[in-house]
Amino acid sequence: MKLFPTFSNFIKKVSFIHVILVTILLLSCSAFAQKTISLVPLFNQKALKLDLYYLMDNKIDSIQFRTIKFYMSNITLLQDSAEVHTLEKQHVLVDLANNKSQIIDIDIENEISYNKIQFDLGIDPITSESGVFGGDLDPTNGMYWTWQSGYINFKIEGNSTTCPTQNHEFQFHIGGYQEPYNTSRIITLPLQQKENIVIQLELSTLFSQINFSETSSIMSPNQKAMKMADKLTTIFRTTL
Amino acid sequence: MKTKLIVIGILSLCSVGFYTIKSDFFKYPKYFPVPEYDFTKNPISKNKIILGNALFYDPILSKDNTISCASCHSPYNAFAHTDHKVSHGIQDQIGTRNAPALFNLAWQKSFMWDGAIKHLDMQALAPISDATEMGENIQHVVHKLKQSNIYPKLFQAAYGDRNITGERILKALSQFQLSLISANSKYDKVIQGKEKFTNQENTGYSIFKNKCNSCHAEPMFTNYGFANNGIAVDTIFNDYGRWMVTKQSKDSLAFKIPTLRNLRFSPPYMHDGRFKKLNQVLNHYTSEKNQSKTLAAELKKPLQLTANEKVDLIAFLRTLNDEDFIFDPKNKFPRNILLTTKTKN
Repeated sequence: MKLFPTFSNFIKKVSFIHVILVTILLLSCSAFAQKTISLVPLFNQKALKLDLYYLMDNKIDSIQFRTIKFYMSNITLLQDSAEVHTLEKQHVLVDLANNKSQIIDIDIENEISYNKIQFDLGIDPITSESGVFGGDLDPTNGMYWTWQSGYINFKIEGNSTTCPTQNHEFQFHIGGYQEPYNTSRIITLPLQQKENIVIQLELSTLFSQINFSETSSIMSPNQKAMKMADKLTTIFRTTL
Repeated sequence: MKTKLIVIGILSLCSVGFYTIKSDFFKYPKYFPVPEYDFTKNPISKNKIILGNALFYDPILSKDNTISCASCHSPYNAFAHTDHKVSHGIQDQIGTRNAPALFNLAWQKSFMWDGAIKHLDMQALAPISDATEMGENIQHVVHKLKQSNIYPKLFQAAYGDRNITGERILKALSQFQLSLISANSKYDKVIQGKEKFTNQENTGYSIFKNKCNSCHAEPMFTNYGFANNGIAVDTIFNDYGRWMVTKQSKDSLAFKIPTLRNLRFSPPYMHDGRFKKLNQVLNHYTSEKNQSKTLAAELKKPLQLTANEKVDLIAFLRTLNDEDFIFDPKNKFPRNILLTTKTKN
């Protein structure tokens, strides 16, 4: 007799917890949709992979990429100019050597509408000066300068037969957060509110603007880095 | 919010007598300013300091496991180095700048002679990566530490698990360096009313306040600024100081204004270690400077100091030496950790 009421209490408790859990699940299912932002690197509309050779615009010379890494910060969905959703994770390191990093999970409330995506290409001054962080910002990612403060916002390394340097190598470490050489750039792209978000990086757009005999190496914040940062904004696109 | 209030309450209870006490390992005199370092992101703990102490003295941070931080920052030199004018690194390479003394770093706003690094946590990356210093990279340091017999345990004690990351290494190094507080010189004892200056020291103190205090401001004995003090550029190093970071002409030949604490232990002086003796430094300030547009306004004309005044000034500067700090056993090479257990490689 003693056991019975306890047992029924237990059953009651279990079912109560169940009801709550199921409600939460249902609510969450109805309120959020799990979507992804995919970053798709291209060279002349072909899928770009590290260490493969791609023909350049003149159809004679070739280019090969060893490293492509960059930071996207404050990823935000906009409806016209109103911010409707901001990704919780403030800084995302995209590394072409790591497939996982090219797909960013984003939970979007179902009822919101959006028609643009905006992000900072790079790291802001406050984060740059606030000491060491882990995860995507950990200095072991090779994206923090060692000789002065500041993250490398965008790193591209590789070689090209048009590059008049030893081993035909080029390296662009675009960073710097202090005026007048703040190399972070805001990028805004139009979106259609579909299942998932796809952002293409058309690298040929960048390299058609670069003359390797003038510029094959940028390793510090300066005027050249500022110009390169402007050019980098032109590689991002969405298809509508 | 509640915990915050409790923490603040405990902190204010701890602030008794002459010292502000953040933990057993971080207390400083009340007349020191509020530290620049944000401890909320890296709260001081004994085990993190122990880990940082081991890393600081371990040559595993260098490419060929020969050079540690302490190679150029020796405790007996107030964590500077007296044998070399400029730093020396792996394979007997010579750097370009004098290794600075390390203490009271929680108050420092920027690091390196040119202020290139804005946060203590990130400073260690510079010597670790510099080809003429440790020639290593932080990724490989993580790899080596993971292979070692001692570090996973030290990381476990410090961070609660054995995971070793760049962030954790750098935060631990910061913790050890933050714990290096020099605040027990005769000057400090005089300020606290525990001792008295001699007449000569008092005269020197007056001269100091008249002629030196604008840049080497009490009680830290630096205003944490940068200045061109009129030493001619070394034609081998061609070091233009802060200009190399900011690329602004006003910063040409400007270098960090160093603290004057513990000068007895930390010669040579200046960014390239060109002066061995304090006399030479004072003689520099009382002579004609290398004239340039960026020469500090205070130094356009030679400082007027008689030979006697120089002696008195040096007597005062000697009161800034802190032997308790130099010989503090807690800052020393951690024999019990680094000598008793050998690493695998």
